[in-house]
Amino acid sequence: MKETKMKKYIQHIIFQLKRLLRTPGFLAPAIIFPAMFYSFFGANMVPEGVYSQYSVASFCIYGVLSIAFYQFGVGIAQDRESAFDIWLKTLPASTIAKGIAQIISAMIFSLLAVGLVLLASIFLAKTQLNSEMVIRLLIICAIVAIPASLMGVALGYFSNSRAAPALANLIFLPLAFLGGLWIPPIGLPKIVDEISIWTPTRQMAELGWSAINGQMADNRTLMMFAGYTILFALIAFLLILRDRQRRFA
Amino acid sequence: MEIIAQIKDVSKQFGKIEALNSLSLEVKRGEAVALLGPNGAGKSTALSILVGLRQPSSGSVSLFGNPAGSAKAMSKIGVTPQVADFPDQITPREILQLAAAHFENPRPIDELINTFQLEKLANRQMRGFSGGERRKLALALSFIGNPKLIILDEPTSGLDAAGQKHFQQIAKDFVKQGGSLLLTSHYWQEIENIANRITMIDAGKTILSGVVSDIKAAVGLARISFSIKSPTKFVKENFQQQNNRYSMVSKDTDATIRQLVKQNELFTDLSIVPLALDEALEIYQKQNERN
Repeated sequence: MKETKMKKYIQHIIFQLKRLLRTPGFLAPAIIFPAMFYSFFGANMVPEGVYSQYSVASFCIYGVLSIAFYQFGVGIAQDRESAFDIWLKTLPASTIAKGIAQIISAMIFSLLAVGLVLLASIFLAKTQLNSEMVIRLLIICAIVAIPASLMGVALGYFSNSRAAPALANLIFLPLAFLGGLWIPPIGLPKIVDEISIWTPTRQMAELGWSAINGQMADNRTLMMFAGYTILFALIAFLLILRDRQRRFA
Repeated sequence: MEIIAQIKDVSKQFGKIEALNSLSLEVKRGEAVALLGPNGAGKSTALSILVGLRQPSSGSVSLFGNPAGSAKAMSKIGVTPQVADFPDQITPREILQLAAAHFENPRPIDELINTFQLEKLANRQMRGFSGGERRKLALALSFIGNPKLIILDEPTSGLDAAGQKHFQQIAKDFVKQGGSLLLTSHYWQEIENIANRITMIDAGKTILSGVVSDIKAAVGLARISFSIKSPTKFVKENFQQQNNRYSMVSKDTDATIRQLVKQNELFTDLSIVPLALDEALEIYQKQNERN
């Protein structure tokens, strides 16, 4: 019985990975774009020193967000409308296995997206990250992945399959810009910076930057980060309930 | 015979629409039951409740004595929904592998690939597969877990004639080996070939239920038809004309033919065939209504 359970989880993970790796529409924006954007903008447009290192952290956070929005947001919206997803539910205890596989594959893809940014930084960054910074940054990325994934889940359960990719871009790209993930806050116009401090992506960015300077993020950032995590969890939960009521009640 | 699937007094409302109204249905071990009815009668809703995809508004549902949708129940059944589609990026073999991993004693994947004639498609990504090819895979998947009961919602829609015939043989063999089937279909020939009991529903209610052979025997009618160049008054009054042929439904075919001979009718190309299931059902239903 245990062997069957294990086989089931492994098969779901392999299935998810194969499916997404064979989807260019996912592979390019979610995994390759963060490293590409870092190469175009992050590596060349910031001065050397700590700003160069902050830029690597920003684009790593951007990588985590892109996986969350495209894998969970777009993926869930498409799955909800697919007959295949309904058929999967007729297999014994498949829902939990599928959920776990989605989380694990998101972790693998996030690691890939973040890894590519880090790899690009080795060749392009004006000031290199040391190993402590990299470890701290990876831990922060794992923490940031929680609210980011919840945002993705909420989008996936809110939107339909046709609107999801556009909606993901419409939310994700402005939020990334507003949060200072592309251009550091000091480079943002004053009005944008004033809005920026209230966005969830800014809190994520602040955590990423704290991995570089080795200092704990301030209380306000931590409180807002926690608050956004709870808010997104609540929204995702309510939208999942709505979906269950509509499709399976 | 042991009851393995049971829907008891199940009602289901979608807002103000009543999809099922105190529907009861059971499948016994080794039985092939066809659930019939016009479009919108509630057949697919009944099946989705039975497999736990929807919850009944009232009534009870059980599969092998377990609640519908429970892992124990689902491990003993195979399902082909009315609409079954698959991700384009995956191959049939990969989907079969995924499904097989959910069962303790799955059927060998290559055996199913051969049985459902998927050899040439098994390792190709499904982009560009026809509806019939996807349907074959959907049917193969319902057999993957070595199920005791297979639930099929319009199993052969989208299959060509050869594919339909091939699947009907697979389904008959499954029942012959002790498996049970519950299926919906709009193809009467398919129902006649596979099912040994039928339940007819309309507007979410059971309107007729019985064993196929009993229904046909109870109706006991056959259709007599023949060609005739110059029909007499007797033929014109008692038989229906369709193109060059005259036909009638009769309970005592011998007596009808004797009468034709007595009238000196010069008929040719005489045929006597038992009524098809759909015609028999219609008459059976009218007889039941009168009683």
